[in-house]
Amino acid sequence: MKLPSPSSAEAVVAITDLSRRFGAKTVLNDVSLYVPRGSVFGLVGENGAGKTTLIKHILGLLQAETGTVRVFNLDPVANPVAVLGNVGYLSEQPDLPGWMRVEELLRYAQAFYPNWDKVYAEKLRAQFGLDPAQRLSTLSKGQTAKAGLLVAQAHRPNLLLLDEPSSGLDPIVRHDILQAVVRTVADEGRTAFFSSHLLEEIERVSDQIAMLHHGRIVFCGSLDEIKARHRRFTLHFETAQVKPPVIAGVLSLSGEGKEWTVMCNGTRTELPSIAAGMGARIIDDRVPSLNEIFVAHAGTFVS
Amino acid sequence: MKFSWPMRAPLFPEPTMHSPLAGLTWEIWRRSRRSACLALGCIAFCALINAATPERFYDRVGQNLFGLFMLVSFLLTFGIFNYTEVSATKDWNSFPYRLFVLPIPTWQLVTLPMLLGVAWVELVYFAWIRLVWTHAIIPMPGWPAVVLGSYMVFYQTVLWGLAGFRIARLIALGFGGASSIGVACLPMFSKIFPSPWFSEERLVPIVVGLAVLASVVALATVRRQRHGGGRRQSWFKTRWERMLDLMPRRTKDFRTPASAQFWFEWRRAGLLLPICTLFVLVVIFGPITWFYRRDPAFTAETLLKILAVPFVLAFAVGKAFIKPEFWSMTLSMPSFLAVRPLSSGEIVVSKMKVAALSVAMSWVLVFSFIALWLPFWADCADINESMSLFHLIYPHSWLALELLSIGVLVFSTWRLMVNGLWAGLSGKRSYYFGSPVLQICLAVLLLFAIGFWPDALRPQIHPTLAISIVGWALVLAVVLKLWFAVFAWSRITPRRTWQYWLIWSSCTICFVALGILSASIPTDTFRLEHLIVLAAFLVFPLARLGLAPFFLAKNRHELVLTPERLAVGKNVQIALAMVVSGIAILLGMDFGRLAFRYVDAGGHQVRMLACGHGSPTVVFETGARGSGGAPLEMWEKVQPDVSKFTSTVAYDRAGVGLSAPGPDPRDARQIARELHTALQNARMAPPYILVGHSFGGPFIRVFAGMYPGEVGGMVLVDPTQEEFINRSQANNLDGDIQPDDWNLIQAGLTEAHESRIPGGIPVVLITGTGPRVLPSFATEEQKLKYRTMRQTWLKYHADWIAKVPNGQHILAENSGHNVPDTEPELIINAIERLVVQARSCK
Repeated sequence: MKLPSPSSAEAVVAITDLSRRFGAKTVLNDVSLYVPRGSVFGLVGENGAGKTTLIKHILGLLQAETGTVRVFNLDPVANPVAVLGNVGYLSEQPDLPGWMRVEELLRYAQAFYPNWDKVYAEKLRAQFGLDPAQRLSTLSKGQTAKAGLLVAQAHRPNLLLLDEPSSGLDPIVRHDILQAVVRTVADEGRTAFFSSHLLEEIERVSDQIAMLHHGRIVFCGSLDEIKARHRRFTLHFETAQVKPPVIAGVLSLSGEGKEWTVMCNGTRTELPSIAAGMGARIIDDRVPSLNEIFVAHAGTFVS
Repeated sequence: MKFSWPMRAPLFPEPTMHSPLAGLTWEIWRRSRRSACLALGCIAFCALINAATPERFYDRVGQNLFGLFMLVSFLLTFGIFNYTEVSATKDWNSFPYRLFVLPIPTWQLVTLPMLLGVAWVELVYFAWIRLVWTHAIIPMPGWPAVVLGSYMVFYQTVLWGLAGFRIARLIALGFGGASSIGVACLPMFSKIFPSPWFSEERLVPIVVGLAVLASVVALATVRRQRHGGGRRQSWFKTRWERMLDLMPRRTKDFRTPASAQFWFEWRRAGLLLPICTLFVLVVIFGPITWFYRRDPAFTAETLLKILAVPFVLAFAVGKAFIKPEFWSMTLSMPSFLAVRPLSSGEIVVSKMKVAALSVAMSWVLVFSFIALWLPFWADCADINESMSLFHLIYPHSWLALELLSIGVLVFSTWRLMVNGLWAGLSGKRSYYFGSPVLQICLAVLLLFAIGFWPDALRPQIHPTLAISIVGWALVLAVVLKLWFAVFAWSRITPRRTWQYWLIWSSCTICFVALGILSASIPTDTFRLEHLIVLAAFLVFPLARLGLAPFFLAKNRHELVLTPERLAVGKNVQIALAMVVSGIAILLGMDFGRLAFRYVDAGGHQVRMLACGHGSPTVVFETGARGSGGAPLEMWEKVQPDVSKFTSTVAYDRAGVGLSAPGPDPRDARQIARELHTALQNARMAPPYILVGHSFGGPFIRVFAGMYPGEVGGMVLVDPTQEEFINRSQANNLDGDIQPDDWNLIQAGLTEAHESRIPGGIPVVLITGTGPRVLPSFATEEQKLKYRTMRQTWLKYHADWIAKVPNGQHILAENSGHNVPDTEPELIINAIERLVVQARSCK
């Protein structure tokens, strides 16, 4: 797998050969990843692929068993203060203490981050419509996500880390979160990293995309590169196929009877000849959407 | 290719359940299997011990052991039937909300855990009665069963009813527990206050009726919770929250992350300890002290109990405090805290600071209560007397001692509260539960050891290298603990080491100061040894705090165990420091012992301290009180200076200080005989100059009467005169002399009266007539009484010395009875004159 090397742009997050096991189960299997500075990095994967585990390694909430994790060229376990002071983190379920009020939360968080921008925080709070005297336990799910996002953003972190931020939220809140992501990167030199399985969002904002499947990186690169690598063909067979035709080198295959859809990963030049050899002709040939690529990869059995 | 383990066949096939109640029961069983088995295991263990050991074991040790295990099993029982779960929406611990969507009527949901709880607690109780407490006589076996069952019902009602009010719930449960213990003891009071209300026949229906009422309340509460809460419940909550809104809130920003973390921890749990202390003081001790306000003996006991309140509460609260999140059941660190840019050491320090402030506030409350109670509605007769005595003994340093003692109390409470911080923060249940259990076991073992082998602490068994096995083990444990903790702390937070050293050194200085200031009272170990041992044991409580940041870091980062190596240099340093401090402690403990000798005094060994060279030998005899007395350290301001010009020997009489007990009767002649034997065995040749203080005066007079040729002079320092015989027991100054001691005193004085001073030897009698200035807090009546007594003694002394040929009377005007402590130079000069006289006579 060709991965962007760290020498081209300074890598904010550099993960090399990371593996992690919980008991007998291997959750991350030789993962290598570089997040270049000033980019939006999207991590896709199905539930249980290991996205949260990877993010916990970046935050130092898990120590690397094998391999290394470096954030801003520092080890997040050895230097928690230096790393976490520059990271804004929004988790899937923002576990904010329910007893705090919004203003107390802001005041508390402000103490930890020297770059906290009070004016900006106030602006965001007004924009999100959060009542300062309200307790966090009485906020709705969307408001809690917004409060978490506020805390993550207000100190203008160098790395904004979002773990499935939009899960279970309505489109308006999702829009706010995406806006935050975009705005982060628009300010020079800051990076955003988020994991999601809402592919249209990832498609919309990411510069680099990586996919985790059963603990392995299946593809990684810019959206254009990925799309260039995959191709979706529709084949029309002369005779109806009772069982799925076996075609070498395809990612996935679906359909019935005479019409079959094939997703290819790199074998697009050979496919016409193979298809002709099997008695089929190509009636459609187009660039697949990210959703289709994801489903194609996720459906395969990684050995 | 995927590889999966073959499905293991379950050990016990799970039953198929056909009714919802069976399903609920099965669920309760499955989630509390471990605790249930532990409880049954305790019973089985104790039953086995009971069957295997004789009744004698039960009388001495068995009761306490069984009691401990019974307490543990009941705690487990109440833990099992803590039938609550955290409700995600409401952020409190209440009746499991997820059960409300099942097609079961509410009354079944409520009565099932209640009935199971009652049944289980009765089962456990009867198992204890029938299987373990077979040797005990239990008057009414059924009554505690009733109380236990109704407390179980009350317990669950409170848990479900006061779901949102955590602190109130804790207080209600504690109060309920205490009052049910009180109710359980009511029938015993029927012997003292016979009243029909204390009989079992009346109490049982009342208690059962209350339990039924509580269960009805529980049913109503849970039904209301199921159907969304009624208007009245939210009325109270909204009033409460409105009141909380009105309270002043912080509006300033935090200056540092550490202060923000302190605020966070304080908001979670800081006020719990002060509130609980206030509650206990006002609700429990207030009425009790008012009720007993005319009883002086009660005041002293209750004062001690009140001083113990913060300790007990701090220990209990501390068990929850040491977890990363106070109010949660899990030990894992919440990720809200884990992602803050704050190092683990800072988090630990903020917890310790919150604990310190909590403890300080509680002590302020306790002292204010005492300050209000003692002057206004307590009978302080006994306490005033003890305080006057204390001030007399330490005229210059009593204030410093009181302040130091307060400091020690507060510090110990704080240490008790953060006890096991490293175990709680580590996130492992085995450490969290295991650490206090281990500590309790060690304490119990130590008490057993001291109880069963008192001789182990006495050095007579090995007179020269006199450290017992227990002493060695303690010393080693202390040294290891200290340095292990420093090692762990410096590994994880090298920048915090200075704070650790600050705490350690300031406490050491306090202890050293305490030791120095209290040295005017003769203790039975050398001062230096005592101080070194105290200073070394001081680190004992501090030691494992240093481990806390390391374990928190493990919890936070879920560290895989990868042993790191310290730089070799640091290892060597720490090893050297361990060795040095170990040697220092051992030397300190042994220092004193190496100077003493143990000499046979006619069948038993007495401790002797011999210094100096030359003749004649000065022999020091200490004062006595009946059969007891003061140890040889009493002469520590006199003997060293005297030994510069002649040989001296001071000793502990048999049964006093570190000497073995001797045969009865302990009258003066027996004591003189033993002294003579000891001096001969120690190869101290006559002539002797005898110096006796207080009751040592009669003793040396008897010695001089029995061995006139060996005595070359006598110095009597404020001795007890035989006119004492004439005072009847009711008239004596110290009203607490036992009748046996009184007989000994009379016998001793009679024998002294009958002894004759050997002809021609010089006798010096020193009387303390002062002190000139009596302490200001003594009442006029006390001062007058004291002066009268001193005048009387002076008269007796003057009369007696006038009849002695070659006698000299010296008045010590700045001293009271304790001349060897306050004006030792008078004694030294007198001895010197006698020694010179004795040498020139030869």
